[in-house]
Amino acid sequence: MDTQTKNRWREALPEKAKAKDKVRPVLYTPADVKGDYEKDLGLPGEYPFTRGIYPGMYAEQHWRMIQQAGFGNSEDTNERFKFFIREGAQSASVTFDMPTVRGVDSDDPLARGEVGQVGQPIDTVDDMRRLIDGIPLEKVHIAMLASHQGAPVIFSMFVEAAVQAGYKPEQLRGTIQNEFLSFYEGLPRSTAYKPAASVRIVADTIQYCQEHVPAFIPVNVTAEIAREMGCNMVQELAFCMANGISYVEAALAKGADVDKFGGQVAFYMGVHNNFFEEIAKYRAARRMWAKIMRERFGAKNPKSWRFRVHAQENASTCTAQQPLNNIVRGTIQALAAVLGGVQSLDVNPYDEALAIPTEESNRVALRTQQVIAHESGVCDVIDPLGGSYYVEALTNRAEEEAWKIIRQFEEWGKGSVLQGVLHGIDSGYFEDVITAEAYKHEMAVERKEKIVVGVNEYVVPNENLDLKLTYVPLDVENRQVERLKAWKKKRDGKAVQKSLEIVRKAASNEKENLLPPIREAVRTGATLGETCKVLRESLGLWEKQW
Amino acid sequence: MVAPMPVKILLAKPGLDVHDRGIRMIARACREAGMEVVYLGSGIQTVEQCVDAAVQEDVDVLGLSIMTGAPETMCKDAVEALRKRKAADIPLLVGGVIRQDQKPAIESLGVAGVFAAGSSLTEILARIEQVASERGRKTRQAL
Repeated sequence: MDTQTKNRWREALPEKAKAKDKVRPVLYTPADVKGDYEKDLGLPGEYPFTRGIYPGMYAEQHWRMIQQAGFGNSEDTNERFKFFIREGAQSASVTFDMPTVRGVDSDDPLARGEVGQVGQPIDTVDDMRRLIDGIPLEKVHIAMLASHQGAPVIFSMFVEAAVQAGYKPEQLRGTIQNEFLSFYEGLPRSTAYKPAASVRIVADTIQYCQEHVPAFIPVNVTAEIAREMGCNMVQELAFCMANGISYVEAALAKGADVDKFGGQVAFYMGVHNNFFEEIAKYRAARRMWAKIMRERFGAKNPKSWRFRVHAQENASTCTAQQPLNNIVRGTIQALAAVLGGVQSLDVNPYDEALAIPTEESNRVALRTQQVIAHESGVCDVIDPLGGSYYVEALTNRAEEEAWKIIRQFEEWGKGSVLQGVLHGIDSGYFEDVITAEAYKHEMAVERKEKIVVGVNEYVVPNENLDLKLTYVPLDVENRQVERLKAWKKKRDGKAVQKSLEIVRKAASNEKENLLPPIREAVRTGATLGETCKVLRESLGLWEKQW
Repeated sequence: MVAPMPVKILLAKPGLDVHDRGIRMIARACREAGMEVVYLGSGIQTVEQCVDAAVQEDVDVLGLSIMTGAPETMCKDAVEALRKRKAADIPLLVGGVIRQDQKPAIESLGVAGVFAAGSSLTEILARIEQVASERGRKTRQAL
């Protein structure tokens, strides 16, 4: 197919299609995909992994099906976890409430009204014990969605509670998101540790896991937050890679061996509405990460080259109007993730925009994955869209565009992507570009240039939502605060103070790993808020530079 | 003829929650509509601190974004704080994750507008203009 022939076809297009074609080509042909099959695509399980990171992919094993929960007191989330497992999920992911994520106890004045409402509160190792009670941790992965001040303490509490429940640390499988850069990029106005300290926490967690909890993933590099805030696909891809490079730079600076921790780094990305864009994003990400690890960091172990990724459907695509339509959105997004070759997937329950999901909406979300896996036939063949002119062209373009953004960071950081990303945070770059994209989307919806079904078109007037929703009672907060009081009364206050002083000392010495003293402190009875307060004081808080 | 003063609005997210995409969109839309916007940010202030700032800034409207699942508590605190500071005439608008069944209780507190997920920028802006001009009239009458 030569360009001339394609142009002849293009010129003959009817009016509407021609106009669209000018904005964005409406047809792809071999002319759009130049490249070398071996070099650009290769085989599944082989460099550069465009077609999948394992030789057998889903023909060998389906992706890990995950559902998320977190509300009420620990018992509520625990009960929902057990429900997930009964219904066939292989992994349960816990969402913490904002006080917990931010490293604040439930009795803090700032926590008022937020305890247990949209996440699980964790104040003490005892809350963690109740959360995992009766969950077979040797089989079920626990994914902890914490990427802020609370992360190192929450993780330490998890390890401690599991050990107290009789598990060996090396049996524990799961992930802690533990991703700070994405938090600054997406939510720059909130308070957090100084970026350098945050990067150190990640490096410490990587090192700690290598030595003690080797099957656990110590960091989930993500840009999903930025996507939820409004950035586009290429930006998400670029930010994700840039954050990944940043952590590797930091770990190397601490003297770690890239091939020792390379295989422990995993990623967390969103799944948005544009079906083919999302598929291309995951394919491009695998190829980019493989190149980054092998070419840039000189990793020799093929395990370090593999881009292992969890796909989280973007909740911002769910609508409050006609919520059952979200089942359809969730299905299309899930298909995109599966065709994109992800390692695990979390489908949005249809009531996501309204409240904490019910068991029923969670079940439908899980069934969506199971139907795709067992009934649709999309798992019969590995990377079935490989070779599609459109998908390959999109994959190439996503990669090219993302590199441009990464090179900008490199330039800002004079070679260091980490320094460039930090500059991007401090200079307001991330906030500006993310807000601009979000606003562009919002205006397009307001002007009906973009149709959101049920929102600005096909609206049900005076829609009456006759939907059973989860109600989290307001007294959850009182119960949690009472528990915390009782805990503080029971513990050895002097021992707690002493253990916190050891944390403080470790925090002021960069060479020390923070995790062992934190675990010791929570074992002694220190609360999340107390431990984070010490960390805040000794690591310093990040303040906006502009 | 003197051009009317632009509407001055304070926008904030009380509490620790940082899901601020919605309120940032509103801040930007208000600015583009010519309003004077004070955006306090998210995740760092209590309801009382937001109200304090609204009083100090002498705004026409206070808008709070609440995504915590329990908007009643924060709305009650906000209304109470406005009363305590003798600023109950500043109209309060709230938006965020608010269930249909939570709406009547919040409205009965005297909140001038409740915008659940799915509200359009157009309707929110229209309500801001409306409550601001109503307040303007009321204040003048009082004089």
